[in-house]
Parts: sequence; C-alpha cells; structure tokens
Amino acid sequence: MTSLDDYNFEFSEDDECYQLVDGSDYESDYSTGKELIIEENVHANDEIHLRYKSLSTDELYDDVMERVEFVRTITQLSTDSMIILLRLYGWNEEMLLENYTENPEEILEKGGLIVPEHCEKRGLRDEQNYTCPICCDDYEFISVFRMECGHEACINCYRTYLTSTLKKPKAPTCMSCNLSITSGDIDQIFGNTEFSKKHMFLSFETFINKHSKNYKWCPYTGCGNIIYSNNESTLNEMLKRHMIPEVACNNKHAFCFHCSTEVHSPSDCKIAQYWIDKVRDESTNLNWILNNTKPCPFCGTSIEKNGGCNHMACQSCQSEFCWICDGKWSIHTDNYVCKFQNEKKDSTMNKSISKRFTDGYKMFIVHENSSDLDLKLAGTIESKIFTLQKELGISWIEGQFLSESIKILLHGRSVLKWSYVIGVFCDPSHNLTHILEQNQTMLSNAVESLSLKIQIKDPKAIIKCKAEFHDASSLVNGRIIALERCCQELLIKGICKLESI
Amino acid sequence: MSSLCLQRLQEERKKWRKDHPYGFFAKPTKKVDGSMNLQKWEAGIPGRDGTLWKNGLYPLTIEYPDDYPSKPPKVKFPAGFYHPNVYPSGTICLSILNEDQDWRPAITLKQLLLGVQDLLDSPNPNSPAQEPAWRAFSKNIKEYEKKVSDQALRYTK
Repeated sequence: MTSLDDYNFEFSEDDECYQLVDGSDYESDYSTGKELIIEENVHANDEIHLRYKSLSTDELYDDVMERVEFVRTITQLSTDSMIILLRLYGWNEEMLLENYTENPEEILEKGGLIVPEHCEKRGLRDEQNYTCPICCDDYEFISVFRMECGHEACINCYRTYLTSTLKKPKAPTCMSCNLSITSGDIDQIFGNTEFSKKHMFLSFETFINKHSKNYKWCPYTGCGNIIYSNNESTLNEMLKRHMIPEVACNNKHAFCFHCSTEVHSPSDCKIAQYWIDKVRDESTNLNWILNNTKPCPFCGTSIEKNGGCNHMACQSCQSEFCWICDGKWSIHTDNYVCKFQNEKKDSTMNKSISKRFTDGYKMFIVHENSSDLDLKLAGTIESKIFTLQKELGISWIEGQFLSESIKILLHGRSVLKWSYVIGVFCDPSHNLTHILEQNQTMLSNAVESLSLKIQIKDPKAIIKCKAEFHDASSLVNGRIIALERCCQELLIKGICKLESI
Repeated sequence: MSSLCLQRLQEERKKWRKDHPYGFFAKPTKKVDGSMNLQKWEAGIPGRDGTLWKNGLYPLTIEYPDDYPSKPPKVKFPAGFYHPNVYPSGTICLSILNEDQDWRPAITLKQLLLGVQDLLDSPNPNSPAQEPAWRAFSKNIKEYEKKVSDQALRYTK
C-alpha cells in the first residue's frame, strides 16, 4: 500500500468517497490548528499520547504509603493514625489537611484517636478463667485484647469482628466505644501482617474512587492491575478531539482510560457509554439497574432508593444530592418536595428504539461474535507458527507475520464494530453518513478476506501466500484509518451526536 | 447459627430476666416445633410518662443475624408505624442500629430498647424515614400530636 504520510482526507460531494488530497487544509477543523499526520500502521492522530504507568496492587500499596508519608510529615502523626484519618476522609488528602489545620482536636476525636492518658497500654494478654463480655463464653485460658479505654474482649471475638468489618471504608473501632483500632493492633490480633494489608487493599477501592481521575482499575475480570496517569491536559485534549485514551496494563489488557471499558475506537466515550448502557438494556439484570437506580450525579455509582426522603448521600463519594433533580442537597429546604425538578432534563429520548438502533445493534453483535471467533483463532496461531518452524524450517521471527495479521484483524473488527455505533447516531440524510457506510463496507470486505487467509491450515499454502497476508493486512490498516477519520469528522462536525436518536 | 451468636443471646436473655427496665418486655419467639428461637425476639416498649407516647406499649420484633454481635440486629415496629424516623416497612432509622454508624458489639438489648424508647419522643427531623409523620412533625405539630395520641390509644397497655 502506498504510504499515507502527509496526506489528508477530504470529503468531496461529487463522487461521494474519500480522496487523498495533497496539502489540503483539513487541520483547520481542529481547535489546535496542529497538523495531523497519518502514519502507516498507526492510529490517526497518534501524535498525542497519554503518559501512564501500570501498577500492581503491591506497587499501588507503595504509592499509597508514599502519599500517606507525605501527609504525615505535615501533621506529624504516626503512620497508623494517618491511615485511619485518611480512610475516614475517603482518601481526600486536601480536605483532611484543611480540616486538620483548622481544628486538629476535633479531627482526632472523630477518628477515634484520642487515647485516654495514664492508662494501661493497649495489647494482648493471657487470662485464666475468663468470661468474655462480648460472646459471654467462659474460657479456661484465653488471650484478651484490651484498649486504653478499658474495654476488652477475647481474641476470638476480635477476630470475628475485624473480619466482618473488613469491607468497611472506615477503620474499625473498639467494640464498646469510638477508639480506633490501628493496623498495628490488627497485626497483633491476627499474629501476622496479612490481615491489615487486606484491610488496606480493600480500602484502596475508596482510594481509587476518590482519585479516579488519576487511577483506574483494569476492568478485565480478576486482573487487579491499576493504571496511573496524571497527564490530564493530554487526556482532555484527546477527549476534545473525540479520541480514545487507550491504555494497557501489565497483563496487556487494553482499555479506555476515560471510561474504563474496552477500547471503543472510533466511537467517542460519550457515545460508547450511552451505547453500552443501551446494549445492557437487552439483559434483564442490567435493565433492572437502569430502571431502579440512578447514577450518582457526582461520581456515577449506581444508587438505589428503597425508602426515605429525597435527601441522598452517596456511599461511595459521600456527596449529598436530591433524588428528584440530581442537584446539590445544600440548596434544598424540603425533604420531600423538590423545587428544582422542572430544571431536570427530559428523558423522553429512551421511549422508542428506532429501526436505526436495532440495525446498528445487529451489526454490532455480528462483529462482536466474529471477534470472539477470531480470538479463538488467535489462540491457535502460536501452534501454527510452531508447525511452520517444524515442517518447513521457517524461523520464529519469519513466522511472526501471522501474529501480526491476527492483531490487525482483531483491531479491524473492533473498529468496525464500534463504527456501527457511530452510524446509529448519525443524521441519516447527510452525505457523510453514506460515506461512512461505504467505508464500513470496504473495511468489512478487507477484514473478511484477511480472516479467510488466517483460517488456512496447510503450512505450505500459508507460506506460499505470505505476500498476500502482508497485502491484506496493509489493506485492513488503510481502511481502518480511513474509517476512523470518517467517524472523527462525523463527530467533530456534529453530524453524529447522541441527541439524534 | 454460629456458637458465638448463640452464647451471647443466651446471656442477653439471662441478663434481661435478671434485670430489665420497668414496663418493658422482651422474649425469644417459639419455633414451629415449640423450641425457642433465640434469633428472633418479640419486645414491647412503653411510652414514657409525661410524653405523647404515654399509656402505649409499642410492639417490636428483633432479628439477630448470624454474625451478631459483629453486626447489629434488625429492629422493627409493625409496618405503617407513625413516627418520623420509622420507615413505612417499620424499620427503625437509628444510629446505634446501623453498622456503618454507631453500632458496637458491646451494646446490650437493654441499651438498645432504651435507645428506641428515647427516639419515640425525640425524633430526629434531619433523617426522616417516612413522609407523613415527618411532614406533620415539622410543619403541623397539632396534627402530629393528634396522630401520635391516637396511635398511643391503639397500643394501650
């Protein structure tokens, strides 16, 4: 395929297709005015990259401890106390520091960190003929944990209690009063550090929720890696250009950093998010969530209201809002009547699922299913390369064109799949929409022909048409770029928008 | 049922029988086979003298979860009970009954029932759980007082 360097696509109404026009001023459409260079084998607009790093939970632990240490140097408290306060504040360091400098006594009290003076130190001791005040069991010999407040309970009770409070964002307290139990105490009660670490790991959920701008869990089931990025200006720039901030964790799971879903290029995050909700509509479970919950207007967590007044407090981000109008609670005066409900947006949009939607959905599913089949195919590629090596004496590196091809194939499928989503939200009468359809057909054909080649089983035949693999792959690549450019233009020009359905 | 839960509940029962506040009652329910169900209790709370709630004996059910005392029991009035902090289902909105707030494993049945008695005449208008009682309490105290007195008559000792 010819190099696409320095070429720009321009839409011409006469022949209804993309032409390669040398030196056109396509870039004037972009707010930055920067020239966009298209390179072969690279996504369009790839000259801006999101800087990020992938962390394991252990690395996140170190990161978090560093932040704790940083705040600790300001407050001069112990690390254990610092962790308790940060957990109390849902890892909002600024708010904690602000409140702490204003009134340290009050914050320490709230955190259960004011230890009565001149008391026996907290800790475990062995007792004989002891009746535990919590479980009321009589023990001949037992370890008892006692806090400075004088409250105590047997070690069994403490272990059960700490296990059941494990998932709470707040640090556990004494069984009778407000005095907080520190990580050190937990280690002492369980006899190892595993449990307090677990306590911390579970609290990371809150930490990541609080810092969700910079930290994202890898959304793949059971992965547990975290992506960290503080490159916000680039992120905003990418979103403005309807680009997808693609990241990959240490396990090579690629996802969109902004919305934590699969890479949905060429759909932008807004449309992809709406689409995912719609698609989930099809399954009853999620249908229930959509019908019975609403996302918290501040952090997006799904919230169910099962009683009480309109005053909602999000458990995840602690923000308070009105159930009726989604506005801040502080402006409301009546718990049951909302004066601001007329300002709420109309939700008549969801009423009818148009034909366009159904068609787009069908195509989306078709390509998703093919994608799954291709993924299975990809699993056999390594053994195919191995056969090539064994039977024909081909070197491993020479056989790599096969894995390259399957990568391109999967990418093509994904782009194709998500381009149908774009199609759904496009103004059907616009010319550019027809061009989108043509581009889709072309990519679809290219993908199918590459897929056919990859399905060839005979090693000799594979090697024979090695050149065709290259050609077919480059063709897919070229079509991907064309389709992505087309979709981007639809988005930028506002021909494709959520409101059109 | 965990042995931890059972042991503690037997002790709660012993303590209650030895000493409980005047006018209150609390007893475990019976299973179908006639044996005692320690995880489900029936209780009654008298309205305090000198309040709108006097003369009433308000019935409660108390259900202890398996992980009691790490988790608090569920304490309910009959459905439709008229009080600003009682949900339409009868569930009571009280911080010492909420494991995310002030529940502590050391809280005893006696403390718990006294806490609920306290709540009767000092509702918390900042965390309403049902609309009619809350609205009347904050907007139309006359109507509220009448409804509460009517209810007290219905639950007369």
